Amino acid sequence: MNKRPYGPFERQRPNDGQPTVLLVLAGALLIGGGLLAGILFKPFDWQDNAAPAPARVSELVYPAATELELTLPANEEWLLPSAAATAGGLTFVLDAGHGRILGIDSSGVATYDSSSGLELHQPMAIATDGRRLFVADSLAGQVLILDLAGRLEKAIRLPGPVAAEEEVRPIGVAVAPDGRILVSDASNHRVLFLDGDGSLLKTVGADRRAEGSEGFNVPGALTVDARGNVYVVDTLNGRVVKLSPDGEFIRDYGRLGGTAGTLSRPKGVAVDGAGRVFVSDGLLAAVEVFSPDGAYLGVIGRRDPANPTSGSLFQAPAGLWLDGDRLYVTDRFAGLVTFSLPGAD
Amino acid sequence: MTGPTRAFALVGVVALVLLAVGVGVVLGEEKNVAGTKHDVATEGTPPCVYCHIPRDAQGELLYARDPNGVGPYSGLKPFCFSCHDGTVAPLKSYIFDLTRPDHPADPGVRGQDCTRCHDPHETGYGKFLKLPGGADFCRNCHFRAGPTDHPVDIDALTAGRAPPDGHWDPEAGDFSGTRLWNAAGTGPGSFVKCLTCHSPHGSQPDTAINTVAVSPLDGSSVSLCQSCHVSGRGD
Repeated sequence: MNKRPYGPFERQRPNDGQPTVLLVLAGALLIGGGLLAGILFKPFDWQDNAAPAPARVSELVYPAATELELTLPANEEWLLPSAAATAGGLTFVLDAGHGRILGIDSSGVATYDSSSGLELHQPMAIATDGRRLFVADSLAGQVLILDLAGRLEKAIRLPGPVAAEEEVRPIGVAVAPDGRILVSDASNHRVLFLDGDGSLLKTVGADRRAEGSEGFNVPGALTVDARGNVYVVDTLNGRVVKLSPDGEFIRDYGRLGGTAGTLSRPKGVAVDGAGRVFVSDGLLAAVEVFSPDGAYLGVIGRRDPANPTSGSLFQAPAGLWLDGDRLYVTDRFAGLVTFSLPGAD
Repeated sequence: MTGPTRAFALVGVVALVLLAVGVGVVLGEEKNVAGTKHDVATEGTPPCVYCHIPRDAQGELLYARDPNGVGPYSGLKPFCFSCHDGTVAPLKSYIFDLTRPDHPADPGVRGQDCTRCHDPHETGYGKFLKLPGGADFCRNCHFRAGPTDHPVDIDALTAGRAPPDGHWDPEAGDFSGTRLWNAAGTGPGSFVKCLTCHSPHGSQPDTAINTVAVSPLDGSSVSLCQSCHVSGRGD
């Protein structure tokens, strides 16, 4: 049989497996090498005519001046302090580890100690209406109302859900302008609305772990703005939920994440007169600020406020309290850190 | 099969195997966490995402999750504390009291954090321990071949010898059956364990001996004397 001779290209066509593998490998090497060369040496700038890149979000620093760093009171020790509130010239700090409240004066000295008359069990949140203190005593399942001298006025035992498997564990408390008391129940994933006497008005949440507008996954700290809107730290959903004064879902701030503008483990919340939302994050060791419509405004708590990469002042920031233009951050290990915020009032 | 087909088939098979292994690992972990106390997921959400927080590819990392890098609150401790701080879970005993050591964890040293003894995915042995509890757990590190001045002969069983008090519970199967008191075996069952005298949390540095009276955090006691001399027993 007269075979047609191979053409020049046909002769080079591989006709067994090994050269094929080599060819594929060579192709892969070429492509990979090209990519690497492009990345390393950037032979041309394909973004030549692109708009200038916006500032990286993590470079956003919210204007705040550090005023005080009180690792420990001058005359006392606290263990894992959880939150603070100011009233009557004192800063009342919850010493969660020792189960007591310490009243700290402006020079950092503890002039009040609740432990002679009160036994608290991991108090996690404190609020005030200026005349009284409201303390979420988490393991006791109670909210205590004290006068500013520390005398107990009332202990509100919180009701559990009908089919509750877990004890009520209040870790957030706030007082609305109309006198209603708001309490978060971490174990049962709900927020309780109580009247001024402590009677239950309504509950918000699904009584189980939930998300979206349906409920919370470990509701934590609470605060109320001047209009009575309620802000709830929704710990494991990585957000702060805003509720209307009647408890209707309005919107949320942040989402679960590890980057600027997201939240890993939100702990404390405060709202200023302009509606800006301040959230402490225990895992990111930061206080993040959001505009009323949810835009990320920057971070508070850098060692060098002008340099976002200069490290954190915090170790485990938790409770937040805003008094005028002064922000009080209670850090579980670093103690009390206060900032002045221009234009916050 | 021609050469290119064979090469692609080989690559495809390897990729499939790797994918299968990866999916298996992930599914296996989820299976372990699901239904445990570490399953904090809402309905329909995988339990992984609350700890293995999804990285926002468009965003800048705010900072490292370890703000200190060194010291007692470093390494994985901030991560564990971010739930075990009285919010998601109540504070327990002395675990995050930084003035007291956690034996034998060395925060910030890879492999020596909380995860030296605990694995959040491990459910087989209680308290999310990585290995079976009891004396055998301690002996994973505290094994010893020669003589000792330890008051309790922790190698008695493996050596086939009785402990110094001459009495041990042959049914216990490990050192936890050793009795120091009530030689007749009629006592209240105060079988001595490692944890009778030692504690991994809140004890003394170096010896891990319990000497602390009562933890203010949860009222638990790890007092050395009271672990045997319980009021009312008359021992």
